[in-house]
Amino acid sequence: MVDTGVLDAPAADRLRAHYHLDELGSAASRTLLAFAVMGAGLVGAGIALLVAHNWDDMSRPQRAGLCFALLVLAQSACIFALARVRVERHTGATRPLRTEAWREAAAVFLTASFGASLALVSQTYHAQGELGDFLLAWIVPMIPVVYVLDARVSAGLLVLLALGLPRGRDHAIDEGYLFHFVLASILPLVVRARRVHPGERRTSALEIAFAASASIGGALLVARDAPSVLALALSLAFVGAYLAGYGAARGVLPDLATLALGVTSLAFTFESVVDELYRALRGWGPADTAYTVVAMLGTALVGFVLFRAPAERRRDELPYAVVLVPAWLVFGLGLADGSPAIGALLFDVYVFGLGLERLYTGIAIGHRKRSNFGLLVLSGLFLVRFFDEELSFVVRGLGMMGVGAAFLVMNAYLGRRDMEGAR
Amino acid sequence: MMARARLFVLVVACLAQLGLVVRAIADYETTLAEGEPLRFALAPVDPVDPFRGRYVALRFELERVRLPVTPEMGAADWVYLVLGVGEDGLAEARQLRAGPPSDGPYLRLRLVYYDAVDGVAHLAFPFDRFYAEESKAPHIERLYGSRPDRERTYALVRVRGGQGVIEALVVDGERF
Repeated sequence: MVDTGVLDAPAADRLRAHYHLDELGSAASRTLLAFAVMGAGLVGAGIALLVAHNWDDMSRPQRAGLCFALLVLAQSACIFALARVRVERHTGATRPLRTEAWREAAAVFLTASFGASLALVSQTYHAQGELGDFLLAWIVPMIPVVYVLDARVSAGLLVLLALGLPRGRDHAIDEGYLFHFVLASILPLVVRARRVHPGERRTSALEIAFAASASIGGALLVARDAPSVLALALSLAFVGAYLAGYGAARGVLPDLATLALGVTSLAFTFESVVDELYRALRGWGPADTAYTVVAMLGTALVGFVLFRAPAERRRDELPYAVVLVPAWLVFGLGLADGSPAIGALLFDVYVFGLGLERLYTGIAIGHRKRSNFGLLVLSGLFLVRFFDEELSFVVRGLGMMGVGAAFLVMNAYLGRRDMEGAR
Repeated sequence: MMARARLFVLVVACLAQLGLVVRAIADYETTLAEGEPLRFALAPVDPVDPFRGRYVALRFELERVRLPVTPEMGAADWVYLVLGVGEDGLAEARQLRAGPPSDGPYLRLRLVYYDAVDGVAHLAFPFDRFYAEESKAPHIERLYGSRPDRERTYALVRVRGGQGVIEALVVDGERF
């Protein structure tokens, strides 16, 4: 277009900058990049294998030198990716070259190399240390790197690594709370990515990694310090993940959150599981109080978000948020020394209602994913109850028959309604 | 301006990473060069699998010491094990302290728990594995699993400033 005079050169440069064509380029250049990355990876892997073959013959200083060299190489790649500039063709001015792919690849390389260097030093000196110290030494210095390089995939790797921090009480327990520090440090990057790069694959990957780490890591901490609040914590975590991911261009996060919510709600339909929660309530401590307060605030926040949401969105979100009702009721029952069987029944009712509602509304509006989810939840519930040895054969049999009859009646009603509608 | 600030932050972060690695290497090398060599007797291991992957899992007799603890020492706390050398030439535990001693070799360890009934403190050693060359691994495994003579089987550890670094593993008199 420049050659034929449709665009002048400065305008062409501005268009290239606006659409990041320097980075994306044509399909051919992307292919070239893919081959370059693959080639570099294979060369690197080959070098690693040669080093591994000779590793035992190397002296300690040689091994230490290799660790150092590996780290310097990865850091140089990051600095190069950040410092690349493009010279304006016609004005001679320089501006930073936006090279997201290079920056991301360099950041991943550095994340892996830095962890490998730390691990190799430990191996060279037979010094195991503690997992929490190793992970913190690995994660914390990488946090500023992922920010300056906008390396969302690497940031996702860091929050997943942080899952190793909440541990049992066999050794250090302090790292468990530093898990929150790591997540809080990465959260601004997640927020910025959603605002500036919505719908991009790397943003989705970071969102999912963050949500998974926050949920699982948080649950591990709660299970360790205040297991009495576990049902509330898990319910809040997955409802929160669903609300946070709602409406994003790539809707994987809400799907994963609802699936996780379904699975954990099913788990709490078992009397033995609820009984474990009630046992934990007897050993009430400061951690239980603190987590209960956090759960109250979380519930209030969910209520606020729902209240402010448009009616259509609220209709979608409410069935999931309602999980907090049985979660709080079970918690209250436990405090009042209630029966675990009733607690499990409350979750039975919720899961049944959720499955039914999703199935019914999904069919009504032609939303296949929703109706399939409803069917999946109901099938899961029937399956676990079928094999639930805590219930007698008679109870299971009568329950199955009752629900089956209800389905048949509903089928007949829907069929008649459709026929009347067709007339 | 923004680009320069980013570059500056990246360089500082890289220097911090290098500093961590270099400091770790320097600490270990200094301990190996200047630390006091002590022989730590190895406790018997399950002969089924003393070897995991490419390292020998080590257990030390001094992981269980019959020494009193003070009230401020709780489970998972750091404690200081003051060491000496016994008549058999092996390291022995002299005292458990909440803080480092003013002189003499000592290790900074985690107190796993204290068994008040037996009066035994259970300690976690930070060096509990020895990475060995693959060609020698089966031989070490065989020797270590055969419950060799106690005075001829030990880890030679350099101790300095509460830190211990394994210099060598001696199994039934054979040094690795």
